[in-house]
Parts: sequence; C-alpha cells; structure tokens
Amino acid sequence: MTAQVSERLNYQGKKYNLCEEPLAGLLVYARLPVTLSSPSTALWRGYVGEWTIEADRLYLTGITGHVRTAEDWRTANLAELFPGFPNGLFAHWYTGELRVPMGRLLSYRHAGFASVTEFDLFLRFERGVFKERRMVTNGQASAASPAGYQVGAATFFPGGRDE
Amino acid sequence: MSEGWLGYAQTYLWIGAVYLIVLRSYTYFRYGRRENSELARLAATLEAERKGEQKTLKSRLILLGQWLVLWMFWPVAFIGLWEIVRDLRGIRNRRHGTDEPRFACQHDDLIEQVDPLQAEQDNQVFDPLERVPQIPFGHLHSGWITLLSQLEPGDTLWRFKTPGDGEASDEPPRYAAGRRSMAGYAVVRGKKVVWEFVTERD
Repeated sequence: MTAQVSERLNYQGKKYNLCEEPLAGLLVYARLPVTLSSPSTALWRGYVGEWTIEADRLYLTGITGHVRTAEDWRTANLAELFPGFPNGLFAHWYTGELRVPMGRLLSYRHAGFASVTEFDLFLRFERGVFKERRMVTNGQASAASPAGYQVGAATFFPGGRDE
Repeated sequence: MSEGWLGYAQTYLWIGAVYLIVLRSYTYFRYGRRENSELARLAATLEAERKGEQKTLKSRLILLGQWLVLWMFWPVAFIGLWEIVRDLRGIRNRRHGTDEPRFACQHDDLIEQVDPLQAEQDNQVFDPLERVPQIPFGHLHSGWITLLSQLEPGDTLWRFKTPGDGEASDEPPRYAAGRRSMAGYAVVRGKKVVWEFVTERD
C-alpha cells in the first residue's frame, strides 16, 4: 500500500501530523449522508480528519471528505458529514495511543504510516480521555534529511486531489 | 547394505512418481487453463511449454528437466498438496454455506455476562463540551441498536475485550503495547458469538 496522507492534530497550540485513523472506529457504525471515495492511492480512506485535544479530550474538529460526483469531485466538511455536531465530535470510542511523528525523516517507507522520523510523541487515551504522553527517540537523521512525515508519491484518480 | 539403500531409493521414487501423477491430474481436471492459483500457474506454464511454439527440442528438454527435478525432490512439491487441501476445504465451505460473518470477539475474549439496561447505564458518555449525543453509547448509538435487534430468546449479552496484536514492538514505531485491541459487547447464542458491537477501538 502506498504511504498514506496523515491526519492533522492541533495540540498545545501547534499543528502536527497524526499517523493514526481514530475515525475508523466511528465509521463502522456512522451512517454518513454521502459516500466518501479515495481520490488517490495515498488516501484510501477518502478523508483527512483534523483532531484537537481540548479539556483533556480528543475531538474531531474538522474533516475534508472526498466525494465523487457525476462529473467531478467535491469535498464535504464536518457540518455536512456529521450534521448536529458542526463544532466537533468527542472521540469517546478511541482507546489507545496516537502517534505524532516529529523531527526529520529517518527512513521513508512507501506503505501506510510506516515511515520513521527522529521522534514519536505518543498520546494515550482511554475512551477519548487523555491519560498520558511519552516521547520516543528513534534515532538521529542527517542534516540533509527532509523534515517531518511526508508522502513520497501517489497515483491520483481522474480529478482527484488529496486535499 | 547398498541393496538396502537401493530399495529405499526405489520406494522414494515410486512414491514421488505416484504423487506427481496425482498432483498433475488434479491440476489438470480442477483448473484446466484457468490461472487462479500458484499451482494453476505452474500447471499452465508446464502446459504452455509442452504445447507451445516451442515444440523445439530445447523446450522439451527444459520441460523434461523440470519434471525430473520435481521427481527427485518431490517432497518439496508438498506445497502443492497443501494448496489442494486448502482448495478442497474452500469447496466444502462454499457447499455448506459456511461463509459466516467473522467477528473480532472470540469465545475466549468474553469477560462477563451483562444486562442490556445495565450496559446502557454504564455507557452514558459525558463530555463537558457537549459534543456527543446524550444517549447510550453516544456517537455509536446506532451500533448498539443494531446489536439489540440481533438478540433472540435464549441469547446472552457479554462484555468482551480482544487481546490485539500482542507484544509491543522493538522497532519504530514503539507503541507501549500491542495494537488493534477492541472492547465492546457481544451476543452469544449457545456458545457462539453471533454479533458484536465494538465500543472501544485502538
């Protein structure tokens, strides 16, 4: 599988990449008003979620969902996909560690979220409630290494764009 | 002594010959020219080499060589036997309609039997920012309703938790524990899980 576009995380006033798909647990049961489609091989899930930690809880506060129409593509936002919760959804279904890659790229792997950066920040949640954080050092990259998590290549379907 | 070994060798080769004939016959009658498995592709390749443009001496010798090698080392071709077993099992499953839904929750993952009303009370989700519906299981409520609709007289409702992937990895990314653990509720009929509702997912 091609390397996948990460989710976005707002944490302590900064924006980060988030190498998890916390929304997957909800989408098993949620009936979205539109069907999301994959615009490219780098975004098989068909959306990019924006997550925020507020009041020690994990919230889905934004989303760019890709919808294929008869002629083209369009995007759907949080208000359209989750009517009734335009300000966000409390991710109470999520239990586990979220991985936030940091630093320069140590090794690029063209599969899923498998690329490794210098550091990983792990944020552990239980039923959507923040419990603890820990930082793991994976190694030191050369000064020439690119910064942060990234997707090296993808095949776009006709008309599709990742974001 | 040498006669003894000769006897063993003869037995080995006879078994190999019978085994290869059975294997070849099976692939011929089962797959014909369809290329839907490794075994079929092997058979098709051999067939193409046997029939093809090919009827050259070289291609015939290559084919003969392949069969000779297979004959000498026929135990290696047991992988073919394994594929036949898998294939036959697949046929039997299809005949008996055993393509049942598969659940993350296995019988060993069941923790305790619960009452549906108690489960609803235990799963009122509190959010100070009020970004969750005030109904049991919050955003997952529809999954709970679907689970309740599966309950039949005599069924029991259980809380479960799956172990996930097991141990944490030594290689990056270094998660603290194994992943893909799930927790939730399962409908058990007899001793069998017939439905599940995942309320926590890693």
